[in-house]
Amino acid sequence: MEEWVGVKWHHYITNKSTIRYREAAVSLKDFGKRLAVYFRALGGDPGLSLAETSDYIHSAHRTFLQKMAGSGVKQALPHFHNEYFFLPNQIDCFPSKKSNEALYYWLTALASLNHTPHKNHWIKHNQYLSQQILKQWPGLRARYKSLSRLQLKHRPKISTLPKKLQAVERAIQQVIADPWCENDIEVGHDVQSLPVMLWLYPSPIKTVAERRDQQDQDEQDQEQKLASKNLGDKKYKAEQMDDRDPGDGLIAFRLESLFTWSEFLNLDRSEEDTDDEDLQSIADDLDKITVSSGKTASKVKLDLDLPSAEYDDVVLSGGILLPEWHYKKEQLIEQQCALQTMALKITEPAQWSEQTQKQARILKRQFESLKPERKWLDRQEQGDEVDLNSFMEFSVQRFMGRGTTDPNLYRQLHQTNRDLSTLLLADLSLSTDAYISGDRKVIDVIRESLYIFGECLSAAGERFAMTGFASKLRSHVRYYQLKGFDEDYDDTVRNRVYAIRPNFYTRMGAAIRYATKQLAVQKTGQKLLLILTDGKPNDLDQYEGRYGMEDTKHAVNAARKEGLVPFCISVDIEPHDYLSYIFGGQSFVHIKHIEELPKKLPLLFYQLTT
Amino acid sequence: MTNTSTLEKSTPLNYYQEQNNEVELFESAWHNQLPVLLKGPTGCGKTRFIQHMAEKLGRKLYTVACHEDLTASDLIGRHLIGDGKTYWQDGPLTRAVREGAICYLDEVVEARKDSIVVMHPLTDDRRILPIDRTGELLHAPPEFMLVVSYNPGYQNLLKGMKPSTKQRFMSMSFDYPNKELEAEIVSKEAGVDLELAKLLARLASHIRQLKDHDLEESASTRLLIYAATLIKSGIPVSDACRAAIAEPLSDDIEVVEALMEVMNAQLGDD
Ligand SMILES: Nc1ncnc2c1ncn2[C@@H]1O[C@H](COP(=O)(O)OP(=O)(O)OP(=O)(O)O)[C@@H](O)[C@H]1O
Ligand SMILES: [Mg+2]
Repeated sequence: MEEWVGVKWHHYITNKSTIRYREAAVSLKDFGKRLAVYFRALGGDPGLSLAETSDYIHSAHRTFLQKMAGSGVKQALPHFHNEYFFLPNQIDCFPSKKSNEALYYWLTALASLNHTPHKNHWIKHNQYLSQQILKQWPGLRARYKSLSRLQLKHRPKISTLPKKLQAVERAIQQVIADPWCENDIEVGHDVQSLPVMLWLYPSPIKTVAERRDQQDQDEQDQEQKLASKNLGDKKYKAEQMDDRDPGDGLIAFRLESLFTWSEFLNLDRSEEDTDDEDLQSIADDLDKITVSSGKTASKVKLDLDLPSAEYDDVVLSGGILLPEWHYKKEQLIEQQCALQTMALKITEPAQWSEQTQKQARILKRQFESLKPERKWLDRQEQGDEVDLNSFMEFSVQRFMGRGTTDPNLYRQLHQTNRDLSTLLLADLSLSTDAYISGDRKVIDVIRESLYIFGECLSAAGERFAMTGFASKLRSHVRYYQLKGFDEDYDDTVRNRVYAIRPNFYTRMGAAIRYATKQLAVQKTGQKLLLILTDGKPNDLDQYEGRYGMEDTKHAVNAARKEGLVPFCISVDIEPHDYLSYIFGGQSFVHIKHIEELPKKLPLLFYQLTT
Repeated sequence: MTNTSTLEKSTPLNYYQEQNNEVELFESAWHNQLPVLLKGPTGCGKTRFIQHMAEKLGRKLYTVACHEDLTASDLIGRHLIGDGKTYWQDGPLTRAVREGAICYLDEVVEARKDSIVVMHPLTDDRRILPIDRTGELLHAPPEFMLVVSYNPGYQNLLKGMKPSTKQRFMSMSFDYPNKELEAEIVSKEAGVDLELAKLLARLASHIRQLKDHDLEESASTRLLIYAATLIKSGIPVSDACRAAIAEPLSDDIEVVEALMEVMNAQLGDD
């Protein structure tokens, strides 16, 4: 099997088959955003995200030289998996940056057809995809030609290969050279050929050894990254929890699903109004669920006790009593909730990542130009210019013998402030502790979003406040004042934003009612209440489910009656129907890709208000 | 502030490429004295349509671009002084009513609500326009028509048309035409050959998939015409597309570059 290596090995010294051109390397992190936009523009499924692959060991027939060097054996291969299209984190197989870059675009173009190449027809399928792309995108033909020429230089000489590999290699080279050529080879992807850099691969190719490694890795990973793809259907959700992700990671787990499990598993929640239900029993129940779901959930600890005073945030007020809507009784029950305004415990100064700061700077610049302009006010008693219109009117009146005593005939430039106050209320409940990708959590994105939002609005001279909330039953609704209306957006505020962390549950109604109070006393003509949340209302008692939704809906409507404009920004996994139920069809937006929230939030504000 | 366009009857009809049955629908609204609301994204042909229809129906067209500072007097009229005496000058709305013309309020949501209410009595079956300053009460002749437009693409919480105002109009929804029609429009408007226009239209249909996700606005027919015009005057294709399509659509360099790559994939870069 390996005899050919011995015979012809010297030939491979000059063979560039898997040689890497380090100096010409281009990496995905420099192109990721462009490629993602490109992918979607060409027709790629907008529900997918781009991600980078780590190297895989492919089972290609290695050259002696490569074996000696211990390099060239790893190759990152582009493929689809779950909600992602994976691209090599770096491409350096061609001698110029331009070609390597062109390869990224080519692979992305192939992927935009949304096909995973069939396992057993890997060559044929890639041939088909190449044809389709070249047909649809004539501009790529010239590029393909030069890429294919480069790729062919890297293919092993057919005569040097063991007999049984020759036919396959011949077919591969023919198809690369001319995607319209006739060939009738049917080969699966795990044939021992060198990877074709211009093609897509069916799914991760793993050696047995690697699989074993992966398993160990999985055990660790699994604790953090639980699969939950589509939380729409509860049953499915439960199945998903068992479904082990084969290792590409980047899977989000929402604690929310744990909460809804209790619904699914039909815990014995008595139908009466059990809002003072024994905490411990709920905790036990939840515990049972987490245990029975196996190791997967062990990382999620439900710490139902309030943290010890030493670590806890500072309680600022003894409890503001707020009503709650009881939908079955159709009655607003007074003094049902106790809300504490809290100050965050700040342990370290804010440290924003370079990227976040950059994003903030860019957006801030855009918002600076939105600063309220100076405007000419007409009909002033005094001013820099004569107001011709009012002078005309005045003269007309006088002509008709109806002179006015105090003619206001001047115009004056005035700094006009927008007649708007905005309060951003952020959900800081435990569900935001869920991972989105790698080691990033929902709360991290929310934190950055609040930061950038603050930077932008203060740059634009807006009048705004930022608050957060979490709850533990009706007796503990925590309300965090991050920035008051009359406070400057400065480092104190930034540090507070930096210090937010996930906390308990989501008694949204009470928080909205309190935010409404804060906004209602503002003296501007327009008042905007933005509610940022990652899920639906819930708490440990009956607040989960219908009761909480109805209460929140009631609070939203009450805010509207007060003259506020409530608007919800949801980063839930799916744009569930409950959003339009609670907020009304026109008063919410669902942000599908949570990673876009930091950028979208200020832009959304701008869009909604100008 | 207000822009009144007078059209000579003798000029050939403004070119308008019909997409569905909008011409017939509009004519029918005019005959039945119904006010019309045109909705649609920017640069999709609303203004061109109304120009075309005004000519077709032989009516004069008064266009008002609405903005925040537009007052009711800007629409109705005001007193002026000249030759030592005062006289009344009609605003575009009043003039359109008197002359049985078409009055077109473009981007009507931009106007303040109190300026908009002056058109309420014109939009129900009374079809009257009271002029408080002079005490006059105008009855609109059957030829008079009120048309308003807005772009529903961007939702604004603080502005927006009240549902009760919306319900006073018959609504027509516009969107960018399909590839074939759009290519024809671009080719005719910019005077370029149909093949180039087809490529641009295809490009646009792809870029439009990015709306909401990566772009706030879609590439409009107007931008395609700009690009075609530049190409016709000798600007290299990729420069023209960058200047007339990619750059106007986004300030994000990553997005602009991605759009350029899409363009290259369509038109070739070498
Ligand atoms: N159906 C069409 N027939 C002919 N020309 C069209 C058509 N649609 C668009 N155009 C061309 O596109 C250009 C832009 O259209 P127009 O100005 O009517 O857009 P609009 O909808 O009024 O945009 P905005 O909302 O920005 O005012 C026109 O000048 C015209 O050249
Ligand atoms: Mg227009």
